[in-house]
Amino acid sequence: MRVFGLILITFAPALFGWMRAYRESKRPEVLLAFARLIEQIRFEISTFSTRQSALYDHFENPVLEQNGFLAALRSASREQSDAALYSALEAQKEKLDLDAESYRVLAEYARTLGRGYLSDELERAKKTETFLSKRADLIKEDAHKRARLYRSAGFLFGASAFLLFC
Amino acid sequence: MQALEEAFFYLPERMRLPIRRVSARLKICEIRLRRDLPLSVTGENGNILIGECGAVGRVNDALKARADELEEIVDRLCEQSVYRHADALWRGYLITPGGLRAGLCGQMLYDEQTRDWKPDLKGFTGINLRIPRLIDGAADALIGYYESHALCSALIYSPPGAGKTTLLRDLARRLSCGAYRKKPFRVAVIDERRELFPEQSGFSCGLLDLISGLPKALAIERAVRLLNPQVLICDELGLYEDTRALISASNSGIVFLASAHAESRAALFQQSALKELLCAQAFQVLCGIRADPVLGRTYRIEEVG
Repeated sequence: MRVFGLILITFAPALFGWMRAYRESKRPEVLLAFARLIEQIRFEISTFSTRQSALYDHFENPVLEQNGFLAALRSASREQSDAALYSALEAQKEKLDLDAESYRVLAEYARTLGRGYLSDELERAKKTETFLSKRADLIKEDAHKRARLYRSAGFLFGASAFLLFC
Repeated sequence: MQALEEAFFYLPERMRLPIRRVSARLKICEIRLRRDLPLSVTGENGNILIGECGAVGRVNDALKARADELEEIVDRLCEQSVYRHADALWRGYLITPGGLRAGLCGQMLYDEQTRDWKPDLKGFTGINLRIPRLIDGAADALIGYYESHALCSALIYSPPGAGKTTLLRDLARRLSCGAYRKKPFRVAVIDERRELFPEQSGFSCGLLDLISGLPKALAIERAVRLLNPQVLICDELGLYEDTRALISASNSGIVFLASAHAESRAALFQQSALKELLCAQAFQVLCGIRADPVLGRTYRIEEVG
């Protein structure tokens, strides 16, 4: 029992650090996935003039699929006629773990989607897409550093705990 | 009734119940929303103000539509996809799949990029939701005339909202189904804005070909050339190009049934495009509709010339 407790105390911080590091490294990927989603919306609108309820029918992305966002988006799109993207974002806010600025820009885009003329829609989509891509680049470096930090901190805590209790 | 139910979908929650109450007492033809002005419906007896609990007598007691509500309605009419409906918004009307006709008014903006005018999406000042109806027997008077004479080209006229479109719809349906002399006719309907036969209207018809989305003049030419119709139906004539297309097709042996806005026969002749059409003897019969609050609809059928 004591050995089991020791293992738990040693590995729990390391595991926690590793998980936080994994989440940090995923952040830019999520932003890039959203940029890809907006690119798809822009394509659907400009090429097929697709109605909003059918905008996401042909979109696939492993990152957004994995974190459950696409399932939420499709279900919102089926259940309600307006602002499906915004509803899905609101519902998945916690899970997505986006930084405040990215979330604000994304939510603003989602809230006003479909409420403008073609040129305005395309312009807004392009702007949001560019913002998200740049933001992803910006936080990539930062996310790497923080991931390293969490991993090291986790390992250190684990090691200290091991030394303390041994 | 189905169309009225569809109208409720587009309306703000607080307006649904009072309008529903009024609709139980009279047939509603139009629902009119104006920004910060009284909400009203148009029935066969005229305009009725709508308050919180139903019909009200005083303007001050009536509900008033807010700017954001009008914006929301337009958004819903556009299926939350305004970019798909820019042309319709520019023309000032939207037709829903169920056949509701929404007339829009408000502020227009000049777009420097496209060098064209477009409606300000935040500047709508009024929406008129017109409820389409299929009234069995709307064409009784004209069909009765044809029974005793022969099928011939007719121009139907009346002021707006008196039932020209309803009459044409019933005529199209009955002629294409064989209700007249038990012979179904090949009927071509020029329905530029899908007002006569909306997408999901469920109006059952017989040998009916529908051309929509094209300007009337072009559609008339195509219908005559390609569809070989026996009867050609066209709503709301008035432009020179439409009447000229009709004149050039009028000697082809096709029966034309069309409608135009006019208060009286004399008013028809005051519209230069229609005068040209009538002088060219494209129509043999004129059918005037008058909607009277007491007598209901009355039809006046007379021969041209």
